Amino acid sequence: MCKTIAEINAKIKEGKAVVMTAEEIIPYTKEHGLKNTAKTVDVVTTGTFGPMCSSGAYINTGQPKPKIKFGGGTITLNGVQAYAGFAAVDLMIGAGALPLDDPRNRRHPGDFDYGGGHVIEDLVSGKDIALVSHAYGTDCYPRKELQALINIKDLNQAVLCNFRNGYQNYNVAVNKSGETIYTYMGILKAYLANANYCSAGALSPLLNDPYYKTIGIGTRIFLGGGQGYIVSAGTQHNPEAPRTENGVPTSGAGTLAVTGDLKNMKSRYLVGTSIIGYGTTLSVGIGIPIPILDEEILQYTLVEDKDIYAPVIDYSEDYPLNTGKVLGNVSYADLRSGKINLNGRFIPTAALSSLSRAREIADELRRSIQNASFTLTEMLEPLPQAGSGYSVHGLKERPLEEDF
Amino acid sequence: MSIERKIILHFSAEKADKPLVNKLIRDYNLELNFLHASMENGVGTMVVGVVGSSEDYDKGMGYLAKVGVAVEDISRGIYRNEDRCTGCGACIGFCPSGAFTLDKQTANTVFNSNRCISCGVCVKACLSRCMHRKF
Ligand code: SF4
Ligand code: SF4
Repeated sequence: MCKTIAEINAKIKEGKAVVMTAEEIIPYTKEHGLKNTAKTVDVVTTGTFGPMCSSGAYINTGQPKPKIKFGGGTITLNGVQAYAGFAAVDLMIGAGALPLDDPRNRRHPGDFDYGGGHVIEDLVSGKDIALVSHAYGTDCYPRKELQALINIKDLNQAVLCNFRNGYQNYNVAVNKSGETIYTYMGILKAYLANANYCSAGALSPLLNDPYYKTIGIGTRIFLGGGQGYIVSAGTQHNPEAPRTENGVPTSGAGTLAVTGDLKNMKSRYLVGTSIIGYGTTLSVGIGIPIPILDEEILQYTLVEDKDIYAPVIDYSEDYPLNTGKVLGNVSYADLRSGKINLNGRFIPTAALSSLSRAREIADELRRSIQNASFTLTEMLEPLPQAGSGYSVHGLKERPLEEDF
Repeated sequence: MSIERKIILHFSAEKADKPLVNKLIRDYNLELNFLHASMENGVGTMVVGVVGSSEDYDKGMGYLAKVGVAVEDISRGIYRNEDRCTGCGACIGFCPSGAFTLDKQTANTVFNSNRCISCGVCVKACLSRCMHRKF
């Protein structure tokens, strides 16, 4: 080991830490060599920005007079259904929530103009939000109806709470069928006419620390323009996904559950997103610092787009029917070039995640470490590791008749 | 005065063989940039960028009206709210006219409005809904 996190933090506080983004570190190491770079460079910053559907927020509005209990009743924010299954004035809203009267996919493909992701964006940007709640009333919480404008600055708490973000690698989506399809991976034209992908590739946090050696529970991160923390592995975390020699998974693998105070976040990094024919979501910006404790950790951050492979999956049949079939594997260097070669056929590519904003996040995180407004944390516990037996599986469907 | 317009020509199949376009270029000194052309069920559609003097442009349009070609001006078609664009690039995949391109240097997605045929697909397909119709 050449340094500890405590030593790095001491340097950060003196304003002397050497920080680079996951892109900048590559040419720097080529020039100065692994050994020297591991000594000089203290932190490598990563970034990603893209639609992350398992994102949400919980808020506490404070009690009106007389008091109300949302729990067990109904609640909407700007007409979008929120979840009222907790205590008196706690509620939660998910990025994919929709207004009750949204036509959804009744006329396919539905527009999905406004949903939970947009409510979160509006809340963060300081707009007033219309809250409507119907409750059943109790002796202690007699009120049965509340209609009020709420604003983030007046709320007791507003907390972003995302339980699957920052996917370590992801599918490339294509459509083999003869008709355009509308998926969460965007519009896929018939007969393999386009391919969509969604990852920051070589800038992506978990691809720069593929074995989760420094990124773990308790790690402080850039989240939505503010600071947040990793609370655990995300749902569907799958450390056992196949990997190449350099440790990089060749399909979706690790995920993160993250949280942070919405009041400090910015709508530039939490953007309400509409996916035609699919639904609404939230595009989330995440940046994670990687402390360069030794040469091995540095080595992992040198990963390049050409070393990262993603599986090409047919979303007209193989994905929805869960056949597990992969049409081919392509590198992020190919994906970024604008076209991929799938078994001799050239297919134009497009991304749903924004590389320019991922770069901006890695840069912003670099600056805030350099000016000591962001310091590193020791992880409290590692994420479930490869080889630990922790894995993800489908639902073994048991018909209701068996139990009833 | 030189002007720049983007127009859609709608014409019936019989007119398709007429040297409409050559005439516009030759007799009216208009510079044309073909963006899109299709023929469906006997109805032809052509999206063209036009540059020329405003006098020549008016005369050229007068000629098209005379020969029964309907002209739709879409110059004030589609614009992007740059503040809301995240630069993802999804539009590169769905825009039928190649109006979006990736700037490899900055990784930003550039909207080249001169290539846009105002089909409107992006208005609902852009993930952050930053493409709008001008009215
Ligand atoms: S899809 Fe929309 S947000 Fe994404 S780059 Fe294109 S215009 Fe910008
Ligand atoms: S309207 Fe949008 S999708 Fe259609 S051509 Fe113009 S930019 Fe492309």
